[in-house]
Amino acid sequence: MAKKIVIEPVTRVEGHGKVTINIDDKNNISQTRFHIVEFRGFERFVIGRPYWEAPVLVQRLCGICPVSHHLAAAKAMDVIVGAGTGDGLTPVAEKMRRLMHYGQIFQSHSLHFFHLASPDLLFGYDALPEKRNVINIAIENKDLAVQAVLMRKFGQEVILRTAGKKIHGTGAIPGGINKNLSIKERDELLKGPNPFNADMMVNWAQSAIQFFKDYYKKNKDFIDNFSKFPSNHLSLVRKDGALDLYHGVLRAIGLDGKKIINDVDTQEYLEYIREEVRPWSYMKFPYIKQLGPEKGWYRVGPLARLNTADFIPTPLAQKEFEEYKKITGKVNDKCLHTHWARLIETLHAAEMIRELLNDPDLQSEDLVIKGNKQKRGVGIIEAPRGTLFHDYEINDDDQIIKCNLIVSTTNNNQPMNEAVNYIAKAMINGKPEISEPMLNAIEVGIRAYDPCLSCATHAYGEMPLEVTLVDSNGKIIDKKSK
Amino acid sequence: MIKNLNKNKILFYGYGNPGRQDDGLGVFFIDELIKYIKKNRLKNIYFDTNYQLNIEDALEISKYDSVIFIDAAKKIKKSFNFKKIKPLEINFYTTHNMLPENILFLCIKLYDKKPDAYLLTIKGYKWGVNEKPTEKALKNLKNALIYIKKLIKILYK
Repeated sequence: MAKKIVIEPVTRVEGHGKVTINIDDKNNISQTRFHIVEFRGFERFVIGRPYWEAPVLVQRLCGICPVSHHLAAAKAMDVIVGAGTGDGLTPVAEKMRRLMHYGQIFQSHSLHFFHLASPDLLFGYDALPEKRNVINIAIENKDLAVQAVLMRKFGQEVILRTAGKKIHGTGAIPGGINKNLSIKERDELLKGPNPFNADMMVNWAQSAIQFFKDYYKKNKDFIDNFSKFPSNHLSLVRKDGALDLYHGVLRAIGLDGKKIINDVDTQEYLEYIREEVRPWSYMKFPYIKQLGPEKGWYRVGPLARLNTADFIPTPLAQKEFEEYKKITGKVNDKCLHTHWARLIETLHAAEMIRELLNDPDLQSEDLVIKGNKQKRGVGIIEAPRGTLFHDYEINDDDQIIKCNLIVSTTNNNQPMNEAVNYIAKAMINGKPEISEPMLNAIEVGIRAYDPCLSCATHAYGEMPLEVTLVDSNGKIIDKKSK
Repeated sequence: MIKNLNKNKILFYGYGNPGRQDDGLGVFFIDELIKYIKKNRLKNIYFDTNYQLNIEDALEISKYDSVIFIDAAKKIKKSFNFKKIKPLEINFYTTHNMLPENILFLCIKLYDKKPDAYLLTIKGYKWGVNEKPTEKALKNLKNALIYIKKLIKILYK
């Protein structure tokens, strides 16, 4: 009898997703889908609100990566207030925003690797579910767990001092920033008692990369071949091709590594990117317009960024990048190498934080700039999970009348579906029994993208895990909840 | 037993999503409690809020003698519930829902500290995308606040 296996919710990602696997009578995969079940609707909620509210309002999209939305919206509003398209701010404004952003990258990447991904890598995806979590990381490797906690805390303290709050801060405003960094705040981060300072964070980021490289040496075959499939890749890069997570021009490369989109101003993204809606998911499917929806889907995030960038403008991360490129080649399509790329970005973020903290521009008082008001503004940023697009139009009464958001995880929608399909076929095809480790392997593939599937309510005691087995007629064969 | 506040520090930690109606009751509670503490200039009482509990909260609570977590709840019978919690070594599948018991376990495991830990849950009713909690939930919050204020007075004796 044909079967449908449902994994809901997908574990150890932010938010809620559901995986559906259809199996035919011979136990072969006939179809796989990764559904997004949460409906957010922020593109509608912001309609009618004054434009200056956007950087604060849209942060409510997410409690995990609010800084990214805050900054993307602020960049769009910079255009609307006539402050330019991302590089026209005063030095203190741009550098405070960059510091905020690198704090976010640092804490988010640390959270993902140590808390979400490492249980699978350290214990194996076929270990018991009770074992595969961050608490057991803490039990079996206390030093690693303590370090991970402090790395995340450091990033959050950077955000606190730049955005004003750890979550849903208000630092970035249209045309600039509402505070500079005091000497006291700077020194708390630069010269804090060991290990809580910028130098130690750089050291720990380096040791995290070494941790992965040591793991990779022992598990090369698994890391290289788990969910490997070709794709296009897209990100911002600096005009000279450097990795730049805050601002740049759009670049996309194809399966062969050649540039499909290059040096495109962020305000013109709609000339190159389209979105497709499919009936079985609330999340849309973006694609590169000139390639069409079938061939134009693309990856974003750390793996994509280290494919599109030519170099990294901080020395220690650049050295790691060169070693990474020697091993992985011109275009890297290996899903689990995303963890390696993510750790290189973590090091880059730590170096940038240290560099910015030493910059006296951060104590300047020249916070805001304005010019001639525009009716539309686009803000694009490289969030921890990938390229994030915010696009707003306003009317003569300064109200938002149109909003388009392409969040990072939406950009990775098709890649995550491809990952599910690849892994399901490799692990489940033809097998007479479906085991929990097989199902977790599918989740491992999804988790590599560090998807953020939106915040959900989580009142005390309200996070049931439900797995439903459904036959091809839609009849529930079995249901288990936890 | 919650330690006397004349010599010991207590952390009130409210968490939840204030953008989803009653889910933000923990955060709203802290907002109200801060007003009371500042008005009465009470010492040794500290506050924190967040969307959810995270692993680094184990470090945060290790700095205090006592901690009271505050969250919304769906399935309690009364308007609020207050109980002492014990460390729990975890058997959950997602860090999106770490329990205060798990945080306490981590605090002991990683930092060898064991603050007296309690959980205050306030009954909520609606969880949609809206920043205003329900009136019924706010009444429950008020009842919980009265209880905690009485408790604080006792802790200063």
